[in-house]
Amino acid sequence: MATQAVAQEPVDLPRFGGRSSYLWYTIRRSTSAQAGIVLLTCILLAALAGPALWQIDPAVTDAPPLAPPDLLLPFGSDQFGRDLLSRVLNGIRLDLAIAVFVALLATILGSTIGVLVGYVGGWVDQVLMRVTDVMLAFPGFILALSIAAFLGNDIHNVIIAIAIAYTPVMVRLVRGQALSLRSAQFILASRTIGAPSWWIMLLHMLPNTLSPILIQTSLFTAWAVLDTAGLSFIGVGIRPPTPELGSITGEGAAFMVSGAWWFAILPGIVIVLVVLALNLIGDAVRDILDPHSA
Amino acid sequence: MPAALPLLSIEDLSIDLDVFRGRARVVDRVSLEVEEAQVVGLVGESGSGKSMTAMAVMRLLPRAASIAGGHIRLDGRDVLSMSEADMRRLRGREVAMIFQTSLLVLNPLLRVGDQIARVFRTHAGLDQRSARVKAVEMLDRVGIRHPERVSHSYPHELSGGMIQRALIALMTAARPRLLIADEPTTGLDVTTEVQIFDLLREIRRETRAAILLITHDLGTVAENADRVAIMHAGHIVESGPTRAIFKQPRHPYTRALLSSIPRFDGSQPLESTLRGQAPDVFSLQGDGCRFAGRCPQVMDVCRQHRPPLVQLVDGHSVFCHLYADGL
Amino acid sequence: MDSEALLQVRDLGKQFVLRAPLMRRFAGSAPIALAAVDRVSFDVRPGEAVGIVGESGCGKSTLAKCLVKLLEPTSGSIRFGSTDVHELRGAELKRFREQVQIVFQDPVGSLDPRWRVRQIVAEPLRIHGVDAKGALYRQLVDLIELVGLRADQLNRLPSELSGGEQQRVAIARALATRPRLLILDEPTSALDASTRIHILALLAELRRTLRMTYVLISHDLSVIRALCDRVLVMYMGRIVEVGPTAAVFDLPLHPYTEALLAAIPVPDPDVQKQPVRLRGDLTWVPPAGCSLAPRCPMAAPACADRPQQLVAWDERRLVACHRISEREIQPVPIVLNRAAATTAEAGR
Repeated sequence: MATQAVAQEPVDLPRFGGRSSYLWYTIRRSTSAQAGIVLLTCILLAALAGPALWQIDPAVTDAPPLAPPDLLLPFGSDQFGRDLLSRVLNGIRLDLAIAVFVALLATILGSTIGVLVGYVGGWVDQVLMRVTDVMLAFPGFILALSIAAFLGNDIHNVIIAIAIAYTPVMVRLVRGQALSLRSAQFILASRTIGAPSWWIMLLHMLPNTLSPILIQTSLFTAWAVLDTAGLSFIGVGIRPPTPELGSITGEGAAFMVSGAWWFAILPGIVIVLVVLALNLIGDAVRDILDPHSA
Repeated sequence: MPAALPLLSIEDLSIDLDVFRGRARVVDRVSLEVEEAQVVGLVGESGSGKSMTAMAVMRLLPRAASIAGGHIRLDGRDVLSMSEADMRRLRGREVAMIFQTSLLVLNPLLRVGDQIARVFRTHAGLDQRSARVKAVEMLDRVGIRHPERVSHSYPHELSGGMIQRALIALMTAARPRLLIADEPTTGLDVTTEVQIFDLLREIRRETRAAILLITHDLGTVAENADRVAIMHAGHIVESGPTRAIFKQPRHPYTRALLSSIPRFDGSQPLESTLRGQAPDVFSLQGDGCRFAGRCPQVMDVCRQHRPPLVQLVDGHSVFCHLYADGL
Repeated sequence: MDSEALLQVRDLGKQFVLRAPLMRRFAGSAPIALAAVDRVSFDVRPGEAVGIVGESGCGKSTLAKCLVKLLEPTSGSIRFGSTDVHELRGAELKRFREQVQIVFQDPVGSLDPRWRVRQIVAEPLRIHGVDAKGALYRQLVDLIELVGLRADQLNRLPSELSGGEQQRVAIARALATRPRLLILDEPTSALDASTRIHILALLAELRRTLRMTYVLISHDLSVIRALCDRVLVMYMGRIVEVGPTAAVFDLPLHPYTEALLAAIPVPDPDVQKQPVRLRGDLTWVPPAGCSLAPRCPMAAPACADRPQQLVAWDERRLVACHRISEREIQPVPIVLNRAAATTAEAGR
């Protein structure tokens, strides 16, 4: 049989070394990706191992109040005599944790709504898109601010508030992908096989939208750190005495004038470094997953 | 009998490509000649290096590609060592290229007439108004029925056939002596394709332009080319007058290619002697014949040594060990 | 009309309404209705292979989508067996989807790039209730070998396969539920010439062994010639000629069919063809009367007014050209020197 003869030929097609070798190739070529990895590693070490290594309780008020940085107090102390380095290390932990939860929540909510709306279309699409448009008209921070003020100051509410503020971004992104995928031949093929809509959305559309979603998720983590810090800075986010980078910076701002510069500047620099690291990683993720949009 | 110098002479051209996967010789010691007013067909499957060869003539290779050896002479002048400024003067006037139709072959932001007019302004020094008039004339000459209307239109408002005609008008406005047509009708309906070739035939009659026709379609070259060169994985495997190639194909690849076309009268059984895929040029080693992996008549020598050029009668030549010691 | 027909299409029409751009709407122009498929009628008998040929804009892809219920027609009917396809719902619709399958043109596009071959081919089986692991795997291996691939390729991603292999996977998927009717929409157009013939051979083989019924849609007459018993020629949404493939090739009736045959590049420098050419390019808005009139090399003034109708030429052939059917002009064969078309295998 002619067809059998063809099948015997070992067709050994060339392939790229797979995702992992393309990963190394991109990292090798990009100094910003390398910088991001180094920075984030330091930060993660600080967050995970820091409090264990630097075993000073952030709540203990042993030190002299408002002491400038020295060998025993690398970051100085706050107005109650608490060790600022220890507070900052714990703060990094909290902020990163919040950021991860926010990113996950916004991603799950946003992509579910996005793929539903993109696939189904019709009036559902119209209504939800108008809602999304209204939400996107507000700067993310203001939106998070109003929701957080409404819900209250604890950690869960902060996470929910920021996640809700970010959801429309993901909805719009995923909807766009779903709209273009809707007429893809493999989607049509699944319809002709008799696949129900939920099957197509869950098993075909979402997996093929993974790259843009992941890129956006990594960006969400960067934004979330900044927004959490911002909300706490103005007093709407995490309340003291829980150590959080933004609230520490906020407290420290009051003491800037009297000369205790370390109280606000040092935590502030840490915020910058964390957000920078996450942004660099986000860029690297985008370079790896979507090289065309450099 | 050929006139003094061939219009286009490609000698031992080699091109390397350097990308993520590695470095490969995508065109390997290719030689080709086009005489004035002749149509030469360069046939090969996708990835055979035929487009790269054409781009090299225009010096329009992508950044990842580099010339690794050989010469290209246009009317006796060495194209590869020319300055970019001299090359720019050649492009459009001496040699022009038509590509596969797509919305992007013409500038989507300019009206069609303005783009053609620009050629007249640059190469013939005409002013805006006269150039526009000549543009409408060109559109009429290429068989467009409402040349005024089309001249005012943007490319996205035209059908595939009209875009290709407009492109031909654009590219032949300066009456180039060599026209390189890279898959000019791929993607077009077959009834449009035949109109495009009628048009090219007419242009050849008028301007005595030579055409280097690059395609994967053997039928097209059978009907339109005077000479045919068959390319496989960066090598030319056989070349000669069209009739000779189709009636007396020598190289196993040529024969296999010819066998894989379902015949017009339905008489051919659905079987092809062409097996497997073109080799991955990035993982090739050594200097053996690149068709060895798929050749039904492969011999040991084929895997180790480059096939020699064997001249047959009447300008028909083949690169194959099978013929090395005479037929 | 055949009561045994597997598929009966009657006066099928699909209109798309193009909304005029905003400015022109204010100026009062009505939205344009484009009839992608216009009053198409034909039957397909069990075991037959019917080809539908036409170029861009003829509506064949739209027709294909209507046949598998990806699109709903705006007029006319499609009957599969004894049921009206338009009325199908729920469980009946599911059964229809088991029995009528489609293979698309672009092998890369029709396979989910993130799914492995075994998942792709198993998808229809899973949806229609074949779940037991053992039974499923056995069926997968059977299907994959049926289309000429190897069992070890079941774990590959589509990107790891060649174009021809991808199309084989698409065919395997289409055959998974043992459909009675297979629609093939340009199954080989995106493939290299050499791969094309292997896929055609596979399709011919499958038809023989599985006794399949095919509707093959293509712009390439040589593909139709290789596989189909009968051919329908379409132009701008309408059928212009119907007949047995060999007869249509030997003596095309409709001027469009003649132009189509005259345009196919034949890889034989000795073949001479009647140079029948269409004039100009495709018009977007169908004129009154015959849709080919503005471009037809044999048009008469009356052609622009007389409505186009498909009439019988003999007991097996139909043509929609009044000049031909009323014997005003004679059909001519396109290939002028059949005898000279010798095999290219000389010297082997």
